[in-house]
Amino acid sequence: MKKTVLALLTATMAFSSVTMASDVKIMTKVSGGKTAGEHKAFVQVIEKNTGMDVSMVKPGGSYDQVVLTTLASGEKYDLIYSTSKQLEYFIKQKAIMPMNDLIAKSPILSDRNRISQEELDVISRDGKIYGIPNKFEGGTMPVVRADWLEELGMKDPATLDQWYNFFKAAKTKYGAYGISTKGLYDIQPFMSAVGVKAGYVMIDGKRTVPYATDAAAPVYDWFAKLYKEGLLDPNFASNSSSDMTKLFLSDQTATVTYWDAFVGLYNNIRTNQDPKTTFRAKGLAGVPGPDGKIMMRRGDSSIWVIPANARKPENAIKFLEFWHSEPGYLLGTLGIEGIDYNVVDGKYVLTETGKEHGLDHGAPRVTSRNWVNPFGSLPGVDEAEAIVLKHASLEVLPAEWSKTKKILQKYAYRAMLGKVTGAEAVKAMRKDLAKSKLID
Amino acid sequence: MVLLPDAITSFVSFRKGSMDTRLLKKYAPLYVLITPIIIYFCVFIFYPLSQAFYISIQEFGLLGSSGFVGLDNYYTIFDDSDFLQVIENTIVLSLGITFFGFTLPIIPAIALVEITQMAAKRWFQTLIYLPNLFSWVIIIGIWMTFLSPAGSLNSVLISLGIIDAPILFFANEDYARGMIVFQTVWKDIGYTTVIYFSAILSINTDLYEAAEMDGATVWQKIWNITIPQLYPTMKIVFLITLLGSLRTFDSAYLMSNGLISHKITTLALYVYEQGILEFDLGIANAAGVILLIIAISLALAVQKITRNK
Repeated sequence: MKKTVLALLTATMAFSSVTMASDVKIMTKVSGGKTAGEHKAFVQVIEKNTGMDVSMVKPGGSYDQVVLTTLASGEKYDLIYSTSKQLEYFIKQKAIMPMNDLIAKSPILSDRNRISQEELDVISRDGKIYGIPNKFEGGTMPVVRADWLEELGMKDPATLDQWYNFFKAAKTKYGAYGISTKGLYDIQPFMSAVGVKAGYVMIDGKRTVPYATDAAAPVYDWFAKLYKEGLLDPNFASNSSSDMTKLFLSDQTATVTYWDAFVGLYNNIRTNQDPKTTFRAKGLAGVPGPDGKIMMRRGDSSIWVIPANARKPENAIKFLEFWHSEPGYLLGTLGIEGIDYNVVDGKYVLTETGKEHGLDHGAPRVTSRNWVNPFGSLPGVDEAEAIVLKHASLEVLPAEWSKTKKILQKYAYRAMLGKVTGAEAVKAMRKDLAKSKLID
Repeated sequence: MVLLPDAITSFVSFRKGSMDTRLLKKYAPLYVLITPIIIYFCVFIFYPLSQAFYISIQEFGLLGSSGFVGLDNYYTIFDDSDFLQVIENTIVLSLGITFFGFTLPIIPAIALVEITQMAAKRWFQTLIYLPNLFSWVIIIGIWMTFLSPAGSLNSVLISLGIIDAPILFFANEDYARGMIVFQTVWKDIGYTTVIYFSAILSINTDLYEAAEMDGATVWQKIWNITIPQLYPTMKIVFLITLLGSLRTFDSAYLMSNGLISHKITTLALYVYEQGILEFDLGIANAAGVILLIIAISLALAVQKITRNK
């Protein structure tokens, strides 16, 4: 018995010493190797480039749960992968540290050509920067079948009426839905038509929710019309991203509202399936509002945060400096040399594994506007990204947004299904929001 | 059968100070056998429960406790306008699941007894038990595929001209709770049927023979012999189903969407949302303690009501 206990203690101490000995302890979700073996090689590349002993944990699933239980149990990490969506909770609980001083000391992380001010604004609150972006996120936009638009002899839709006509024509000619969406966020390009922005907007110091204002009502009614005429995918309330993707890639919908990066992905998938395909996805801007302004949304950023109880924040910064420099860009996109790609006569050549991994090892698009991916961009991505950069902005999403969103969805979906009018929906939204003290 | 009460008596007398070493020695093997169970309950049930209560009276976030807050977390929950809706959802779903989950399996259990051909009996048994082997992800996946707007049922109904537009089974507030009750009962019916079936098989056959001699019909035998003889089993099934239904989580979590979530968010899902999605462990544990209190109260109430029946 004594021997067993002694052996267990020794093993525990040995394990602890291994993790304690590492110079930086990181928890990651998407950035890393695709398999356990590749992840090991991934970490070795980081170690080689940073000169640090790196412990990089990549949980298999239920990432948020793992983060919660790990931190709550007192385990200490120097850097954690997260999203801007969770930032409010982290800040509210003082679970992460502001990084202003650490960033200021770093020539790489304070280089605005590598990480733009706009990217940092996403993760800043009251002048304090709470994280570093993992990659360039872009935003969501209507992604249309450009080949269908051409065949139908139509121009890119720019008003709600033009969108309606396109959806109707697509249904008539191809038997497809006009549009498939997922979640309330996705309707922002059309809410733009009435100058309404997602999230909260402060007016005279008071919290308002534009989606619950009378201005938004006609857009809900417009969606109800689409639904009634079979132009809107009826699954919109319960759709997942993959549901929309399936419909779009199988010619069952003319439009989806999704990330700019997916424009390239869709084109790539269909071209790989059939090199002669006429399929062409294209990202479009939202509908201009009464003042001519287009209001689109930037997405939730994937970010790196330093927990308040981190042992070695300076080493977390070293890793981030690597991640935001050329070797890090290559690792986050192409992957590991010798496994995902090789350099032959100065040229990058993808291996079969590399092709399978699709130039994505956690950061398919880097934040640097100067670095050029050796394999270029997928078709349509650059144009889509330009639209997002020109028209998309961030929303104010405070911690209470999750409750606000539930109320908005409940009535917005009812209106979009035509069960209530847009005017009735926004009135009910405001009533519930005020009752729950979610607006002033 | 007599050993255990004696063992308990000896243990009680030991605690009172009048140690009967002879009895203790006699029942020592029983104490040894029961020790792992006691340790299991202490480590995996009572300790986590005490921790849950402790956390519920703390301001407890990602990096642990930041101070004692008394009953503030409980006040916050009852102040939350969604919470009453969550309680309503939990109770309505629980009642639905318990009622149908408790009564419906009696029918296939009796049918199984009545089926005399062995092959048919085995086939029916397997078929009805099969959904219980699936995880909730599979269950929801099956029904979503079958009942989606482009699914088989809607396609058939539309092609037959019965409906003009697809029925949105998973995006309709009126169907949401019914869908959860239906899917839960469908999943669990095989398991409960097996329990009832075993209980029916243990009924004294003399009772049926006597009834037959008196000229009782099949229905009279079921109503006057089978059902009354099943009462003890039904009490257990009722309690198990009721307590299980209070913990409804997977189905509600998987089915949840913006349109119906306010109708199906249960207390268990509320705990998850507060704890995992909003990282507020103080509130989550307070909600968990409330769920526990409701479960214990209902269990005691059910036991009291059914004790003499």
